[in-house]
Amino acid sequence: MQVGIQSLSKSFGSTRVLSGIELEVKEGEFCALLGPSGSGKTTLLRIIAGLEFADHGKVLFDGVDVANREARDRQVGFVFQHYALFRHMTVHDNVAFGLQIRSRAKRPARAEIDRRVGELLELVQLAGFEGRFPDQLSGGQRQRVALARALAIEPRVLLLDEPFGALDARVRREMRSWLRDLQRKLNLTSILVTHDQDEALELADRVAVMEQGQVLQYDVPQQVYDRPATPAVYDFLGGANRLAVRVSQGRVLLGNEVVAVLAAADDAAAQLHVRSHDIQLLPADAAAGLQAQVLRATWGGASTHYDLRLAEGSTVEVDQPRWAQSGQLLAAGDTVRLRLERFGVFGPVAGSHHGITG
Amino acid sequence: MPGFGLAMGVTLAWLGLIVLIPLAALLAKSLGNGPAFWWQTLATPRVAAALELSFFSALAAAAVDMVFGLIIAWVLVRYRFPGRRIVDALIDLPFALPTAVAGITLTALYAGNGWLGRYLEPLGIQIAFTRVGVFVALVFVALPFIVRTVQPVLQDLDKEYEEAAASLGATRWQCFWRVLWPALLPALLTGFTLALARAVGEYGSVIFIAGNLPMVSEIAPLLIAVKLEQYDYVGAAAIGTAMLLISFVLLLGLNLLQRWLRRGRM
Repeated sequence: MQVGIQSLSKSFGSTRVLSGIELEVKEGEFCALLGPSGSGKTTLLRIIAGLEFADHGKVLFDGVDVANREARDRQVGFVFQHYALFRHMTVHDNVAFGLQIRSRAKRPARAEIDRRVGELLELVQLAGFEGRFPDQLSGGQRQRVALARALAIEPRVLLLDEPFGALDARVRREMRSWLRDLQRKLNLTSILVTHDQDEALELADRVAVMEQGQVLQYDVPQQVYDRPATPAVYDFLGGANRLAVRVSQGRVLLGNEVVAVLAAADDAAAQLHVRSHDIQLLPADAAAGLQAQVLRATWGGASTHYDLRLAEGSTVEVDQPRWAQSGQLLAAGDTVRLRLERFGVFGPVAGSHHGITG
Repeated sequence: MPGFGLAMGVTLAWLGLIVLIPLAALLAKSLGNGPAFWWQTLATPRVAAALELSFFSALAAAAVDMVFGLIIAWVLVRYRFPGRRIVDALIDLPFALPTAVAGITLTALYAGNGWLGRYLEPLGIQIAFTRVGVFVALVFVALPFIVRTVQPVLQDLDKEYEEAAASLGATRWQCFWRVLWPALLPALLTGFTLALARAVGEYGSVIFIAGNLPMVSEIAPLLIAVKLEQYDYVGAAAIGTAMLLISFVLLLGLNLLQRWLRRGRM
């Protein structure tokens, strides 16, 4: 099913939590709503589910506005952050719930319900757990029961609210790729809410980055990551340094040094964003590069984290991967040169530019 | 387990001193004139009627409180309204009020010339000095037990459960009956058990409003007091043990029901 959100807004009291949201999720697509807490992403998901109602705007399911329909009439599968499994029911009864409560005319026969529950538990790799109670399951298992319960009603769209938030890191990674495969197999339109950028980038076909009740960018993960539309998106998508620069005749100037060359030619102050792992450390005697001095070095296994001060005074953080380290680690006081591999420049006149130093 | 020996020792010593020894003394006293006398005491119509009244009105009062206590707890937990804290504090008053005061107040209210009694009496409803009066007093004293046991459970019962049920297609009624009710039932039963225990042993508030007519509105605890005044200690102890036995069987049954309801939960 196709989901469309049109000019949707919502306030709680005098606080505006969503304004002018436009979103379209195609049939079978996996969409992630990514944003910090308070960005309105969960509220948007709940509005799509019918657990919350918008003040204005449309919620379209295959082109039909369902904005005024109650949750129980929308046929959506909702997976809650804390699973919300019914504790007094067995796994079987939890999964069967959505079928058992149907009116007599629509309810499948008992044997048919049992068969479907068996199939779903097989699908979520919990065959044989029918008689257990939720309290007897691990977090990951509960999560999968919640998913099976949501899938039992043959939902038109699957909505997941921070589904891995309560799991530990290893289980979370396993569940992620498993969910990805399952969603593909079922070809079920799905919307996931998360504040974890890795989760969003890895799972989704398209990512909507949200902040302060607005969608800042909605695109495929590679685009969102490589070409963030706004400084805020850059900030949110991982460890970016911000440097005040000047763009002059296509050259990006930091102090008096040319950091990069852009296609556009404006003359204005701008912000340069560069992620800590997109900076290469060069020896102090290298032919080019920004001069910097090491303030602090923190060894961290896969990469070493450096705090550096540039010649013109601003500080920069750099993560150097292990393979790029040769000989001894740098120590506080050492001088190096920096090469910005990938960066983005945002200016009032310039708009946004993304560069790869070549 | 560190401290197990000491803690267990204290537990057993205290339980023995405070609970078991007095109960054993009661039992020994009640059988002082032999088992036949014990049975004869209980088998008199007056004692049987008192026991029946005590237990049936306690059961009825606890049951009625279960319904209204649940509604009150629901309102206090789920809604925000001006004066909620005051209402919340009012719930504990029956706990705190000396029972005799409660009894006198209720009697004054429901007597033929009381605030409520004067409107009820013309309708042919007499509450003071009848079995209904006993029931009314017990409803009053037992209410906080239900509200206070259900409230915390209701507070922990996240709205997510209702939302999950709704998203799966449940109507409001199905949501209540299949999701909320089973989750609340163990707490309700605990409350019911406490309310029942309190109501069975209640004395002070009942004796004023009941009128204490033998065979009609005389409760078992009062009958014990009557026997004591007549220096019939063995007879009083016999009624006491009977109440103890019936209570024990009821509470044990309720506990087993609880355990069955909580199966599978940690």
